[in-house]
Amino acid sequence: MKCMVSCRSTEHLSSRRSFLSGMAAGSLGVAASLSPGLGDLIIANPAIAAQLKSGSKRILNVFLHGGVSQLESWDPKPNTDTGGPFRAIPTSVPGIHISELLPHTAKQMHRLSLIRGLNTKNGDHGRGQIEMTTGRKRIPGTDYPHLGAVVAKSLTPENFPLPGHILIRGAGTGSSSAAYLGPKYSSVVMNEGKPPEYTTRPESLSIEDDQRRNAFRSQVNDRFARRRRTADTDSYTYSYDQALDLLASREVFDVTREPKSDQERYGVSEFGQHCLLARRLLEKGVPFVQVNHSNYDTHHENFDFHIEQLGEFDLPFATLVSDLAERGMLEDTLICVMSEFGRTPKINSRYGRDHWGTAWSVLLGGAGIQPGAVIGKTNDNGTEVVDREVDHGHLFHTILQAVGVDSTGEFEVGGRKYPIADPAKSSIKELLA
Amino acid sequence: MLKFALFRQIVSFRQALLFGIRLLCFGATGLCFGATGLCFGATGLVLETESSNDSSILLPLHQRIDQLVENDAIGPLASLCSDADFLRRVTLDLAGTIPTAEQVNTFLADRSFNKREMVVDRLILSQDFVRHMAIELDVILLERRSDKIVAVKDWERYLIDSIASDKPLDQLFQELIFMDADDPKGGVSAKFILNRDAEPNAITRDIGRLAFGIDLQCAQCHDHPLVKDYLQDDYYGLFAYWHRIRLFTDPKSKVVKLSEQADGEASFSSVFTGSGHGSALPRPPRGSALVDEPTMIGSDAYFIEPTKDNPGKPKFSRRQALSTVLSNNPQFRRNIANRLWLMMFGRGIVHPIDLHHSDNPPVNPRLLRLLADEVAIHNFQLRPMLRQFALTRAYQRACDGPSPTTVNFRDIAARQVQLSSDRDRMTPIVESLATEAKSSKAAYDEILHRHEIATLKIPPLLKKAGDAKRKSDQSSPQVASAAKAAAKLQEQSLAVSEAAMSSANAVSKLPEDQSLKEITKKLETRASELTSTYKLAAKKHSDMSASHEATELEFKKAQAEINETVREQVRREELEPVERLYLSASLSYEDANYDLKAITQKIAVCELAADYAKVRESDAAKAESAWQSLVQHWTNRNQIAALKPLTPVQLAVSTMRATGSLDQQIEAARTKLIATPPEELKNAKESDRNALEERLMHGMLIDQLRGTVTQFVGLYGGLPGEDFQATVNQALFIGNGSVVDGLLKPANNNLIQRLSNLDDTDQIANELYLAILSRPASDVERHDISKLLSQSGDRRTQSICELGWALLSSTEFRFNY
Repeated sequence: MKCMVSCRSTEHLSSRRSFLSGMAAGSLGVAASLSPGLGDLIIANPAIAAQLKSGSKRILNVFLHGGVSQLESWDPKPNTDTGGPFRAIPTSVPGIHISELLPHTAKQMHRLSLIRGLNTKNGDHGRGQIEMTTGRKRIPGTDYPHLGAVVAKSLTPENFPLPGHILIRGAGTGSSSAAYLGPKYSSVVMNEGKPPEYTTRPESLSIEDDQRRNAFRSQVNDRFARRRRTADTDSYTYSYDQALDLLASREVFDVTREPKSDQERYGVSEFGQHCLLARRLLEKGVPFVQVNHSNYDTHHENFDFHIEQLGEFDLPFATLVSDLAERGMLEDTLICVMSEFGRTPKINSRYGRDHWGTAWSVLLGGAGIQPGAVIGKTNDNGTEVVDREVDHGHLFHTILQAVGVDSTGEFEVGGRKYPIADPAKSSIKELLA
Repeated sequence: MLKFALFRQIVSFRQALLFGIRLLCFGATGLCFGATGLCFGATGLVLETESSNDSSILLPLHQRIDQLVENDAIGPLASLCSDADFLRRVTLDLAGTIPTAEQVNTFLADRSFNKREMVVDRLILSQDFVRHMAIELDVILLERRSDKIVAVKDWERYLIDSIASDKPLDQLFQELIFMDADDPKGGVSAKFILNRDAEPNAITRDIGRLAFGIDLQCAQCHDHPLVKDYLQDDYYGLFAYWHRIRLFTDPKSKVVKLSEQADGEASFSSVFTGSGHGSALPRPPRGSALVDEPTMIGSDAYFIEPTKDNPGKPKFSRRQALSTVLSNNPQFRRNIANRLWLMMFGRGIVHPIDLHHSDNPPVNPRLLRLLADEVAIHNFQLRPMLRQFALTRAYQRACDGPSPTTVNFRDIAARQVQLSSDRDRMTPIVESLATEAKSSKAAYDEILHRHEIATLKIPPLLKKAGDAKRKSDQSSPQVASAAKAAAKLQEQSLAVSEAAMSSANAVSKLPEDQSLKEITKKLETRASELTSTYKLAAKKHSDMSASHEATELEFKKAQAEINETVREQVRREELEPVERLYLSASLSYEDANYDLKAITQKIAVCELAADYAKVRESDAAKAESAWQSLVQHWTNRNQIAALKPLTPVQLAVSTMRATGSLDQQIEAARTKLIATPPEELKNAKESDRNALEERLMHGMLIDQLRGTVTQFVGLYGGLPGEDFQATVNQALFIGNGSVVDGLLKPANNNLIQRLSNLDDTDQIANELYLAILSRPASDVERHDISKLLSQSGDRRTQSICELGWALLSSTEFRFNY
């Protein structure tokens, strides 16, 4: 069923308009004479600060592409037939050890928690990526929305000028689907950390030109609204207002505006800069940011590759965790580090490890997650889960509940209901603070 | 009366005449649009259905639709829309783009009383219609899946040819589901299945949705017991047609084809998380179960057995069986009717369009039933149905929001009293029909279950028989060669024994001859050796032959068991009466239930109107919200025209038309076609040439526009019937992207260049509005534009560009109103 106009009550519409025109008027005298909807020159958007203060939650998802080895990261098994050459080191939580490849993250462990009993019963990249990020078993003929889309739909505040679901990734293709939630919630991609597409005005168009043509657009729209005004026409005109707002706050996407000292602390690597960018976006209240890091598919030379990849991952990630904590944002920001699966305990003849979904780990922290916990356990050489086995379905419920989304509820889209998370699964209650 | 009698006859001989009627419709397309004769003919066929009554028999379909819509209306009926609104609306719906400024001017100046009908006929016979519908069909059928296996251009050509030749939609679906592998077009129509990787679950779901309007994926969600059973059976029943197919890749050419097994029954435990068990045998939603499948053993079941080099060809194909049942399936007809309605009205009579079930009734059940019948009468062809839709008042109504002062609330209150009494009258009827439907279903299920038990016994028997046959086929030559070997040994042993006897006889004559004795001894030893070897061989042969006979016996036994089990299966003749009873009882229940629910919905609208009337003076916010809901209901009930968002393709093509780029593209395609005509065009008969040239040109046009269209599709997405969503990315794309910016740069005599050469600001305003918004500018609008342009100084062209952009990004351009 079409969403009735009453869902977007007239109060909402008028408050949105006054909000936008108010900003325009407040920020620059000249804007006051223009039509509502031209909040173009606003640099610091008051709505963002307000949203942050109101305590709405956010998610940072770090996706380690290719399948990070749990044995070289969160669940080391030194001195066993499967353990590999690296040591396990103590962390800031007494009793929790992680791989020596993650010394900086180890110091943040008191802010984070581990799930070590993941059994996702899958060793296929495509399927793993889909199942881990949608929390569902992949069924042919059915698409489920990405976690980012679910979060954007659930947590994006009304009138929020920025996209609710941002994917920061290296060069390449691919984005995260919103499936039945619709294009509004699919990922806005920052390819190589660059600003999203179409957020730069054509050179020939000055801000004044843009304002002028938008003022005329509003006039034409107002005239048509006198013939017929619906929820659809309102959301259409609003999308242009939102675009102007987004252009005004465009520098959110520009990581070079962060202090030099911070840029140095996060390091020169692409992943380091992407972590800093993620911090910047989260600070502006973006509900869901995913940072991808490649490439962990180490069928050859697993150990060398993990030294290299985790070496790149460790410091920026730990810096980000620590910054979020120090800025008081960690209590509202959930952090997750996931992969499509883990890697085989058995070391193959090329010193590699292969795909393995039977017993692996995921890191969670912040927001409603109890800090310093380890949930689930694998056996001595990591070949099976021996305690509190969970899968992507449980993880999805847990992540959503940690940011205050009732994952047992339903979305109603286009007249039909969709369970938010897999109804056959539930959250890992003991991990929720 | 003569006509009446004649049509009765047609009805009774309908099956026999169907082919003839198809030919008539096919050949007489042109005639059909100009004259009403054929339409009356079609009306005659409707006599058997409830939706006609004596007074309406001879009315054309569009008037009967209006009767049903208007009789069902509660509250205001909008007046007919303006000519400009109508032309834009109908051109978008039938040709996929806004009209040109010239077409608007011509239409507005036309004084003919039937000019709307004339423009409908012109559009529906145009090649724009073919192109637009081909794209619509592509989106409906493939739902913008990423391209693979079959080349896009071949697929598009297939769709274009299908539309151009008025291919009935039931036939189109038939071809998508099954086309003989030897048919040269079979490889193209198989794209529907190939693009879904021939994955049985994916195809089951999509055939359910697209052919029957039932999204079976949701079967588990419904808690209405009757619906629940019904849908699960539907899922199982449809799935059984598909689980025997898979993708086959030719090892040499790497061409991907479909391969279908002749055997295998589906197992459902993996489909649903629950334990439920449904019929494992093929049955389409609301249709006949497939009970007369031939039972064939092993390789007998194939024309060509599938191997790793050959996809094979079964003698009996289940999906072929499915392809033939669509035309007569009531749910297929309703779904087609509903989808065609959606194309023109922007909302299904059942909506969401793939959720036909008892908790989601049609907004106007009688209308849907009428249209389902008419779809079949009009031979499942697009053009005649869409033409009738375009001629209705329902389609031609204005979109303007009504004013509360025009609503007669007292009438609505009186209506509510009547409706409540209708509801009370109907409720027990529906209940008793539900009971009947349930009991007829129980009887039907019982007989089907019996059939299923027998049928499920067959696969292991087939395996046993197949194994025995293979074994017997293998041992047969071995037995023969053993017999041959034994016979040879017997001859040898006989020959040597005879020689030994003769030799012994000789010794008796020459007892002193030592060497003769030795020879005799040798012969006797050899003879005895040979005899025992022969005996061994003879034993081997008799053993083998016994085992062969046993195998043959086993095969015959298995064959007999199969025959016996086949006899246990239910015959079609036996099932038929029970099935007919069940199908008609459940349809009667379903229809009555829909009628009742529709009444309940109407009562809800009346209540809403009463609520509004109550609070309109006292509570402005509540009144506003109730009023908006009322307007939405009136829109859904076709009392006011809906605002339909342009599809991404309509938006892209209309943007190009408005800015003058589409006409350039058309010219470019035509020039190219004339300069380098393909063989097909060169060889065409003179009389066909123009039409073919137009069609080829539009095929090229789709290809030329693909780059731009793809950008719109990527951002706007959305499938027919889905909710509207406006995103900030779309607005940024229109605002900052190079596509719209490029279209608005003055060049090549495009809109902006032409306007920037004009002096008269009134003329500029008018042309701008005609080209982009498909209507003349009003006085106020002309005045606004004059004012803006007079202030623009040396930025005049830039200003025109900005005005053009503003109109392109306006709600008025974004929606079809």
